[in-house]
Amino acid sequence: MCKYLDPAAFMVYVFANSPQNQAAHSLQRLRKLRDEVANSLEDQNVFIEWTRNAVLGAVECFPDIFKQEDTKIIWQGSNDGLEKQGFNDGFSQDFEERLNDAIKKALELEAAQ
Amino acid sequence: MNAKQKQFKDPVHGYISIREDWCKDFIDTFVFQRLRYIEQTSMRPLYPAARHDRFIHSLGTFHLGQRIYASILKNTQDEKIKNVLKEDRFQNTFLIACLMHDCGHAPFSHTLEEFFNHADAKTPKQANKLLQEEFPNEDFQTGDGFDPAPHEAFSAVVLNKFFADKLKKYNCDAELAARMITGCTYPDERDEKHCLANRLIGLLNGKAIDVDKLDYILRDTWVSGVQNTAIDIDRLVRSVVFHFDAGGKIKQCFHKSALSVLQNVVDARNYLYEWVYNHHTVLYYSKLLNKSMRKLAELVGKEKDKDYFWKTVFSLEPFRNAVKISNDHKVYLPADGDMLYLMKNFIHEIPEVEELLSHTPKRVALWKTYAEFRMLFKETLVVNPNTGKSISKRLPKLLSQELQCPEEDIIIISALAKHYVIEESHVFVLVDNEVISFTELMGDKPASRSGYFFYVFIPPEHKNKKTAIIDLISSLSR
Repeated sequence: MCKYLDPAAFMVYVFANSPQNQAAHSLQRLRKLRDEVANSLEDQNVFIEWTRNAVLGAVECFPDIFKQEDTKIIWQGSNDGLEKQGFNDGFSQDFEERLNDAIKKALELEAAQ
Repeated sequence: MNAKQKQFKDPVHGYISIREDWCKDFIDTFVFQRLRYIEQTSMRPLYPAARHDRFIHSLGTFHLGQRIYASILKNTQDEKIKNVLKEDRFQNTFLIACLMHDCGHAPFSHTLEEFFNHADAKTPKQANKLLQEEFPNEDFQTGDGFDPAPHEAFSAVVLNKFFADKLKKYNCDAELAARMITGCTYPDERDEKHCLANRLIGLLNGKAIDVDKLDYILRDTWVSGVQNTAIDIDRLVRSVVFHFDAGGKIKQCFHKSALSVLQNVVDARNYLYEWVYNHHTVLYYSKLLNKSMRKLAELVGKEKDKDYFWKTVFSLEPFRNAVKISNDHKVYLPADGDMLYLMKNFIHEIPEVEELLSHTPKRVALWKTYAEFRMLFKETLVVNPNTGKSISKRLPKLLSQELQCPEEDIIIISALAKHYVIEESHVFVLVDNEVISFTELMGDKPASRSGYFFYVFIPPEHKNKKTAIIDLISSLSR
């Protein structure tokens, strides 16, 4: 069975792993990060949805934590990681660690380019 | 070329004219005729007359595309733009993409669409993977960086796989057709042709107003019988024009005379989302159907491998041959009837099928509209939707303990109350030869009332515990 991450959950984890001063990512960048993370977690059979409806739906659903400005998503949540609580149901500790590592790696790779 | 035409009578648009050779090459085929047996929406449990299908919607989308293309050729002043638009590569590609844009849609349309991509299968992203294989050098993503929807990706693949010779016959650009169907614009508008291609992509699968949306808004309104905002479609269609903006970029605009209709389109779409597509009865029966399919796949999977059902039914294979689903059943050109037939064979193993077929719901909704949800939880879940999301996942277990019933008896359905608002760069209006954004013209854009919410369905014998359940949910969210 594949592990499904909706865009809201994915973005929450990306922002939680981003440097404190990086409160915005472009949609293009987030999609690239999604590709990197999905590749890293291939053995976990992860599916991270990234259709327009799903992503914009996530932004509309959670206006307290995401804001869209043109082609950027801006993080409006806190930095204490509490937001993750609403999105990590069903994730094992092991999977959450793998997810965090994959995101960190993808962010580093992106920053180096 | 004035090709001979065939006429289709349609209650929404009147007569739809389609070239005879296109009818023969595209419509009178197994792949296209399959669409007659795929319901357009999931609203029929609520609106019994909504028997419209992907076939007539495809014709309607083509019809609007054809009319709008003619308007553009008539209204656009720039001769160079007009000459490019008259090329087969643009005109035929656009019109055939309109006609074929749903040719790979899943049985029961969006209710089962997710199974193209993930569902329970071990084959995530199947539709996008197929699209990448079909066009290996292209990155199919929309201008802002999104994946195409699964049914769009699959339709683009089906068109290219099964109609490649026909696309060639009419000088179509297969990759451009795939981009039009998936809404994936060219990332770089390096010249006029790429710019025009992107405008045409937006006309079929854009952000705000396109021929696909216009047809489904008109058609879903007509078949359901709801009293929706009226759309003066003739006025709108006649107003479309391509024009250079102040920066020298080609924009797709509506003439100022259609200004009133633009807001009506948005209002009509929002009405359908709020009162029809997100209606608790519509979502409940969709959920039952979705659950039934998952259980059916599990039962069928027992005989072979676990993912067998998804891999075979939601793939290209049954478009070519009848594929074996179990020892007793085969599926060819999968449509709604095939799925129903398979489910009927397992009626005793899948309780949801009995519920579906008898239309006797075993659960009732505790609240029935987004408005009620907002009223009940305005201080808590409406303010903190991520808490709401978390709670909705825990609710089946919590409520089964509270009501002392099996977890399976509780159904929670999450939904997005969509309230679309035209954004700055989405719609342009031509005012005295000047391209102005709709939002600039209309002043401050209204605030969006979109939001996450969920319905709770419980067995009717527990309905008298509604207040206690609402209190429980509220206490969890504090």
